[in-house]
Amino acid sequence: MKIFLIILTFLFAFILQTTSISFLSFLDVSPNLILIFIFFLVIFKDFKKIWWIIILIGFFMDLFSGLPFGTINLSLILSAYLIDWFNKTIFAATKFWMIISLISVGVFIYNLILILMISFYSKEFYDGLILKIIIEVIYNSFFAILIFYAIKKIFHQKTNT
Amino acid sequence: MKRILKHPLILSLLIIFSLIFINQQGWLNPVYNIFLKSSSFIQKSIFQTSLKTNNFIDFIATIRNLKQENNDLKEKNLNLLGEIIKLKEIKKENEMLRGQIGLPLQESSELILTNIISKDSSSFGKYFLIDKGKKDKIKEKSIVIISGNLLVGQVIEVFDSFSKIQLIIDPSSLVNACIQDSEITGLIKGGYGLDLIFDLLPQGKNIEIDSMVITSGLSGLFPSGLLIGKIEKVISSESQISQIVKVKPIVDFEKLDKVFVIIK
Repeated sequence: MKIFLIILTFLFAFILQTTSISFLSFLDVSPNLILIFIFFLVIFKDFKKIWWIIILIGFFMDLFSGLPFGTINLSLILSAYLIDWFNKTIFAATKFWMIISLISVGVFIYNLILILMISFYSKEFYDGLILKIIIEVIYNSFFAILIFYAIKKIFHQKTNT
Repeated sequence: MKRILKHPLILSLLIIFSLIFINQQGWLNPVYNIFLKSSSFIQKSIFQTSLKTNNFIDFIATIRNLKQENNDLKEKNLNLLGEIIKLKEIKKENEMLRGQIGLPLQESSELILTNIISKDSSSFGKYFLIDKGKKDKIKEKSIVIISGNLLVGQVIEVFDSFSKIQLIIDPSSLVNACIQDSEITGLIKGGYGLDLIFDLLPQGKNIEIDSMVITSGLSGLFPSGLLIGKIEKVISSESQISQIVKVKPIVDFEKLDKVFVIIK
């Protein structure tokens, strides 16, 4: 049941990502809801238990992207694995700022891997990319804070009732 | 060996590489069609609602300038009406002259109106998904425009009832273009953000700001005369081999909801 809910949440986030999220773009960068959800899941669960969900979501993201098939999925799985490793070794305590920092690092790693993979087939890709990644990290971290508080509020209310 | 293969990361990578292989064989197309068919209605509805909300917010934000904008547009409209009458006369004359020297009349192209149902899932690519595909005679490399002969992009992947279009603002998009009323030609590439880069323009030629950039038709892929944008500024220095110019696209890609695909 829990897994079913997680998959349903991801599918809903995926539909939002490909439709309305792009309208929230700031300086040509829009928040990546799926990436934020995946990192939250990796931090609170274990990579070993959820790797197949990441592949499933990455598969759909690849289908809806114009980038070469597999690049998003590979970037997602590698960045999620690294975040899991950081979470277990460096950022051991699950405090608010630790979680947000982990997500920021995750967004940075994800974009870096994605760019490296895209650079194999396109040389036209490096104009203004560093600035784009910086904005991407800041904007997604901001959304991660919002989502974190939203989740906290929902679960807090649930436990109260 | 078995232990290594059981490691979740290794297992994940193996699955992803298998998926890449399966996709290259085209075996994933049925999955894609099924998913798109079942989700297209929700996607289309959410996309259209989001677009309307976005337009409404924009409208509220610009309500102060509405009167001035209306006056400017009325003036522009009158000028354009004059231009249309002049062009109609030229067209008539052109047809008559073609008839006299025995040249066939230019074929008018067939257009299909399509709805945009979703955008790219990554922020690096600039792609749209439209609700028409192979069944509607759309082919790969078909050109996508909006009314007024404004170039939007081209079809890069076609499925049964859907197609993926690459916008001209995508970093890997290349379009042969020229500056209107001049013989200066170059290559339009997607730049950072929503702007375009006009590259490979010959050095020493005078490039006027606000000149219109249109497709040159040189590669044979894009028909000539499609409007791309307006020259904003020259960004290269004199020491460079060619001139590079920033171009502002005429199309507002953020507000598109319907596009035409040229099928003939």
